[in-house]
Amino acid sequence: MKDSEIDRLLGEVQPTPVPAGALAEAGRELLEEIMSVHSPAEPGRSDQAVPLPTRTWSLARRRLAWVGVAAAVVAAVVVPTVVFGGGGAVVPVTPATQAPTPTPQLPHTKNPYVLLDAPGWEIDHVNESAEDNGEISFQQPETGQSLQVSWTTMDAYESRYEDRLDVSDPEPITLFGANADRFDYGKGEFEVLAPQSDIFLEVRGSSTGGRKNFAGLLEQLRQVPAEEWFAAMPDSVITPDENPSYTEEILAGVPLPEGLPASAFVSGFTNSRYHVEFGVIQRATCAWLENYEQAWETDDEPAMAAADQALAGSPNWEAVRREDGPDPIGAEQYVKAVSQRKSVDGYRSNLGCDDLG
Amino acid sequence: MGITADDEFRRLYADNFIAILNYARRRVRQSDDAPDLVAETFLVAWRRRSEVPPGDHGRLWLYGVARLVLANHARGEQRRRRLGQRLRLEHREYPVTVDAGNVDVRDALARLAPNDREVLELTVWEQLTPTEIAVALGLSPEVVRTRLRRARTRLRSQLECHAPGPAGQELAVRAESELKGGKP
Repeated sequence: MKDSEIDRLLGEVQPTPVPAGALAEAGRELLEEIMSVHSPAEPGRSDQAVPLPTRTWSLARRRLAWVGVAAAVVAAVVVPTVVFGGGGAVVPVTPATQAPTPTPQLPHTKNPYVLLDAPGWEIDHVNESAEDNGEISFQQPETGQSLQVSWTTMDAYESRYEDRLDVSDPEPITLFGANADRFDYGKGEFEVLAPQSDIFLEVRGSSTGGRKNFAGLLEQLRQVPAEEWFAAMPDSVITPDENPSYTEEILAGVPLPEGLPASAFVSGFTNSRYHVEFGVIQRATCAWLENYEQAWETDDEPAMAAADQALAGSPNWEAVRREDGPDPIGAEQYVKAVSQRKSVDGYRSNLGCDDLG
Repeated sequence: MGITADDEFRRLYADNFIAILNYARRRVRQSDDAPDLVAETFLVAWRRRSEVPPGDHGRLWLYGVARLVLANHARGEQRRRRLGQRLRLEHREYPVTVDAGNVDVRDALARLAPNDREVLELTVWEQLTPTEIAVALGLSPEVVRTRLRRARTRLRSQLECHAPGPAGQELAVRAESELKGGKP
């Protein structure tokens, strides 16, 4: 069943909408009532029980996202897997409890290296989008419960905390031995804000049941040594040492603009497979569109033709073509514009090219 | 930056009144709650109009407010303002109805994790792109795409596993047809 078919089925079950133009008079009356309620344009929030959608996470910080591919979790179970060798090679090692003496070269990030020991839970995805920003998500496939742990810099803490005050009163708790605050969204959704030294953690539980259940899950969260964390990563997650070879694999058959080396696609972060693929395709597409834009401005037909040829072939790129590949990045309209030698204005923001750094 | 002039707010309201009302109708349990949600959403917007982003992002911002009003509503904490009495009454002329068929699809949708279901509904029902949903929810577009992908994957899996019912039968017929080399 294709995505379009799923969307069609969903479209059929949506409740009936009110047609455009209906209830105009009643709507206008409501507008006048609203505008007469509160005259100052002061953005007061003391009387609001609604948090505004101001928690805008920097796109640049989170440009690589993650996937929902289940994987075996952690727990105290330690499996032989990989650590980072000096030359970036994958080195099989013994369990972390019997860590090898040479210190592995670990990536330079603020990753708090959190794992969840709860039985039946799996790592759903990992997304490190920047040195100081990332997320790991756990899920319980049978119950649909999920728990996300994200981390970012402390400069965003105050606004996040204020925002959450509109959700509920904070309830002081302890997480990883430090003070934290829990907020209750209702319906089994909770969030904990936990400041650490220069980052803070957001732990968000969905469908996790009551407070007691959520508290039980929090008790099973552990901050572990980096080596143990990497050892617990499932195959669906690409660690930094695996990134170069995986990127090379994705780029096979993908034409690149002159002067853009494959090394520009390599990431030093840990991300799920799906988003590594998405990021590589996104970067290649953005690069070709940038080339085209410059050629279009100078009416350089050969350069426009080269971009056209490369982009026209993008549906056949292996990672794009594969059924389980990433979702389209949404470049179709620009690929068409290139084929017609039209402007591609707006592609950078619409495709997230500005966030690629 | 925000919209501060009354005329700008009126435009924001006029451009989005039906969209927010329909957003509410698709999600509230009682049809009568939809006008309340609209009133509360625009009241928040009015009071915080200095924070409403200009242009099309204003619409996405409103969706963000509406979902949070809805969350409060679900928690039973929505304040019952007596705004929009006429809207409440006239809205009853447009009862919310749902196609009685496709029980499987609705059940499968209900079984999705709330975060996944939300992006799927915003995609299909509100016709928002992942980038727009990202603005409305304060997430990165990649996170939205991932949730969308996961939601579709799980929905597909559930629909294919729970064959009984019209949707399942339809799928089963199609699958059989495809197996036989026929057109889906």
